[in-house]
Amino acid sequence: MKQLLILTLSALFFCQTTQAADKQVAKPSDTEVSAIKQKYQALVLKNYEAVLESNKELLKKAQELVKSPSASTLDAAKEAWKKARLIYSPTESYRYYGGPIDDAEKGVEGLINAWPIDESYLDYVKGKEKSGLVADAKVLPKISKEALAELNEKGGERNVSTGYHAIEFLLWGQDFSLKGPGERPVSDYLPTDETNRRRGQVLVALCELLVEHSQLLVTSWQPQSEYVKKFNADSSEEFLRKILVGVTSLSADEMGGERLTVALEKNDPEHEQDCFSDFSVEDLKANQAGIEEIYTKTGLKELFEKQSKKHAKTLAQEMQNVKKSLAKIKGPIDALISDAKAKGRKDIQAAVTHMQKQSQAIGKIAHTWGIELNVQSE
Amino acid sequence: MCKVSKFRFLFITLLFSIGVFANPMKPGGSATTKSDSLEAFSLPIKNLKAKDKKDFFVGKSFFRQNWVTFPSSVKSLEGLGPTFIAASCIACHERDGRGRPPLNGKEEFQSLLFRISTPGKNVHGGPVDVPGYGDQIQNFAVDGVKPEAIPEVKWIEVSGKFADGQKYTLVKPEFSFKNLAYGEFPKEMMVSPRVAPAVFGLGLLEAISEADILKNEDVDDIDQNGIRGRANFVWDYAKNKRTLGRFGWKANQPSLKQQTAGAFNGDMGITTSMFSNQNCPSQQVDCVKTPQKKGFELSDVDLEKVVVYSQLLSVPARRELPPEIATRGENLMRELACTSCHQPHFKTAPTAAFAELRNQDIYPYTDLLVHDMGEALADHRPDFLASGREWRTPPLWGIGMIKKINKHTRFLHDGRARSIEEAILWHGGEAESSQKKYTALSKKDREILIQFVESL
Repeated sequence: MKQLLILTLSALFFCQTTQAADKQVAKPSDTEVSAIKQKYQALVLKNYEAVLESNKELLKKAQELVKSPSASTLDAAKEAWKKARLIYSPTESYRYYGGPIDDAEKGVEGLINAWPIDESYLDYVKGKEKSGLVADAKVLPKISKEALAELNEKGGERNVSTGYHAIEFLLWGQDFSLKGPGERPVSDYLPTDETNRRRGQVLVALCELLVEHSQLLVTSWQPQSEYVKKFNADSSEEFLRKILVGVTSLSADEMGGERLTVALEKNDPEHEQDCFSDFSVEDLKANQAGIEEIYTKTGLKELFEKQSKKHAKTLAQEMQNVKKSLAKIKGPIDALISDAKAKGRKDIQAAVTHMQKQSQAIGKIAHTWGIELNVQSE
Repeated sequence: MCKVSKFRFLFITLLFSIGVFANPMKPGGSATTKSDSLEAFSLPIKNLKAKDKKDFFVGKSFFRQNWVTFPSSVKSLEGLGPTFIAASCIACHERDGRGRPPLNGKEEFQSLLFRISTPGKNVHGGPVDVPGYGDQIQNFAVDGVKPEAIPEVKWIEVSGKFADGQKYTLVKPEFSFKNLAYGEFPKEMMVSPRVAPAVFGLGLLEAISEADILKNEDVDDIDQNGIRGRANFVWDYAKNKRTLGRFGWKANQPSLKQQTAGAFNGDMGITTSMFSNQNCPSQQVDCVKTPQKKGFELSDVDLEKVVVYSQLLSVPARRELPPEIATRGENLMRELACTSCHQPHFKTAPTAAFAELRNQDIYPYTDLLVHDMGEALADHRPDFLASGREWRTPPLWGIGMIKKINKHTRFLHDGRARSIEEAILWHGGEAESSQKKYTALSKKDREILIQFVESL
């Protein structure tokens, strides 16, 4: 009897859900989505190719700095790093769904972009003049790309020995000023002692690694690659889920959460993302540009507008709001981070709010297709 | 077709009340997230409220922070040691997942620690500290202080046979210690090796009501199925009495707050208001004399955020299996009585601290009770009510993703099992008959069972 009752109830339940499904969940059109997929793949590939070029340029400048250390070669290397960052940051939208960049088994994200870093793991800091791999021939007997990659995140996620932020530290040094970036003396690269020579070798090896890893990304996103074949085989829903997990996680959790909220809450300039170069806000702007690029250049915008005018409109507004609030932040932000009463903090707070709302708007549209993202609704 | 809308509301309410809406594919209920990236264990619960989001991310940052020796140029990071096991939480709980033992004699101990004690019970009914060493071995120390001891491991092969004649080889660890800095260990010292367990989903386990856990106890084996299950009652420093233990390999911690503060103190040498003394037994003169930061090294406000982080980490969604494998696997779990201890389902209490964690249908595959696991796994070191042969049933959710995220498949308290199958083969004591039944399965069924466990 009890079983019969449950059966009857289940039957009614399925009637209920099927009806609800008909009303609320529309399937995205496979033809439209497949066109978006192609454009997305082409866009990702093009952007990673630019990343590769900019990292080759960074490597060149690093080699020149080490070969003839001077204020001008150091500056040129710093400029190359900044350029490379502005090209890399938009590609952070391609993270968070286990693609070539952060696939759980083979992803290179941690080697390219790990942050925050414990700078004393890599090189000397104030009060610990001999700390770090640069000086420590016991931990790093032979400087090589492989050895540096092996030591990355060994014994903790902050033990970063590779990638953009490690290179940033080697170029700028610790930042003790609230007005400007770190001021590593160029004498750190004069081959006057073994540690300096090692520092130069480490810098060049790290830039070579960066080139190698960006080459991997370019290879993985070729139209005929193993990954792209699998990617093309994904259903429309799965494809949309992936790329939307990417942009929403970047916006609400990474930019809004880890980079801005944590820095504000901890009142600690150490938690500014590009804390050595004071380049954080520029990076965030480039991240946002990457999100917008996917939206406007792949046909996603049109698909969203067709699905829900209302949510698409909210999303367009929030994209503007994120941009406007980032433009308002007067950098460098370490002053705003360390002073809990600084006036400018409200601009950072506003950016965080809009980054969350931007993700929520995307989450709402995805929901109408029955696609669930890891976006919190409030 | 469905013209019954008049009664629909009533039926739907009824369905809710009998739990039809629970979804085992979402083991964390509404808190479940889906991710194929390296971050899969590190995501906030799906239903996180905005007000808790800040604390989550700040806590996440503390969880990853490397602590440094006092004094340092960065004030907020000071306080590591004097003796310690790791400089950050994440060093052992890598990617919020599971730790492992060193794979060979050369590798350093990174995410496996040793609890130690001498026979008897302390004033709270817990293990007795070892003179000169305390309650665990700190194998690292700041400059000027000696690490307590350096652990070493040798792996010994053990072989066995399935009923179908197929042979298998297991490995068991033989631990030893060198460079004892504070005298010989007492002969009667008991040693319990423990790898760092995964951190995700713990808030949901904390949200299960005490009554629901105690309901599964069968200390005297009244149903005579050979499986008992005992709740451990342990000292609760916040409540100043013994309460139900649910975390740690012996269910020896009553709350995530105490677990966290305990790990800060014992594993990293960071003091908090709950454990305000540096971990320096009086015999360790250099340790006692090391300059110290005034006040607690981690404030109550910051400790709370780390606790919130551990409470609000989500559980990964299950991975889909072909339906026939899923059904067969689930049936095998039941037929072999795995689910007697690895309880699939709980509903969290309506009174849980966070609204997000209340009334969730969760599928952790643990009963949070301790069970006799047999002589081969015994550490012979009692911990409150848990005997030297008893271990707490570890949750199985997310277990199939350890390989991807943590790049290893080492299981059990000391990480001796090199695969899920080896972990099953090590089961003894109350689980002996399940283990026997497993070895009697056909190769195909064994594979299906493993596939099912990996999908959880």
